[in-house]
Amino acid sequence: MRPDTWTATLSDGRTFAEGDPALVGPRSPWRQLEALVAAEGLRITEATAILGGRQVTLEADGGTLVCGQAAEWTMPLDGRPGGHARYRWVCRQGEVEWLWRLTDGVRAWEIATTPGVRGQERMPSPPTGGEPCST
Amino acid sequence: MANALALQAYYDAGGGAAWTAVGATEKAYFQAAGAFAYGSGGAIAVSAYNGGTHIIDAANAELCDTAHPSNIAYSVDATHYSKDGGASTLIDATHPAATECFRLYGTCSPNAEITACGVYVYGAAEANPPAGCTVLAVAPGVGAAWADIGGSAARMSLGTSVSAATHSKPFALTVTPSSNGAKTATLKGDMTFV
Repeated sequence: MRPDTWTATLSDGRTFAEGDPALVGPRSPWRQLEALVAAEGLRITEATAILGGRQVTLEADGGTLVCGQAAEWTMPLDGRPGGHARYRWVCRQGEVEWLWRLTDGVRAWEIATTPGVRGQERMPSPPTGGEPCST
Repeated sequence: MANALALQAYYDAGGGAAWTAVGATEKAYFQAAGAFAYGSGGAIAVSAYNGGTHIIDAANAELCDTAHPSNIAYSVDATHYSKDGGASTLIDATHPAATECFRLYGTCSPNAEITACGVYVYGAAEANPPAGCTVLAVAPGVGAAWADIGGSAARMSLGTSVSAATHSKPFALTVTPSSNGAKTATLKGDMTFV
């Protein structure tokens, strides 16, 4: 089975992964981790999104980290096959910029966007091609 | 731990009406009113709107031969639609009904929330609207008027969702050609999960 998860490090040094039993609850494991961090007065200092043979990491560096997934679906109407793409991403939400690192398991991208609305994160669509970014 | 996204249409391929995923080599086909006719026989007149909606395979054969998806078309103005050639109906939160629309369908394991979801169509490049036709969309419960979704900048948001195992985001499409000849476009949907 190919790797398909995230890991996060907290300000007290503990590390969690998406499948951690401590994060089982009504919301996603990442949201459960955010609740745990808030309840204990901690911060998420580093997060890594892992898919297939690639992983992308960001440190908080004063911002707020969020990990998630995204999927894109296309249907050409001229007979060409449609396509599916799936990604894992980590986003550092700063005051003046949101920095995204995303991977489809083969390629990885780093994309900066203007800040959006927390809770309404929309992963930016990656450009054609893809360059390795820091892992 | 993998979440997934599919485009689905509600039609009967022989086993009863049901949400059915549009496969990788399948496509939606919009034509004039009447029996299924691929190509010029089903051509929509310039400035008219689709009179039939079909799901076809890679060989352009009809898949919805028992019962088609509902044909939802622009009618009168941007706040009304016609279903299967019927009377004009005001668009609202439940009209058109979800089962009269296409939908983006996300599945999550474990549960996740949808922080963004949207759809648009493009031509030669993602930033470009399709040439020679206009594609309009409306998402009941999210918007109440048809909007041109040509090009990535015109992406229509289908809204967010609270944490759940599945997420259904219905939207209706209507098309109108501005010139004669075959038209093509690519429909693109996206969903972001946290």
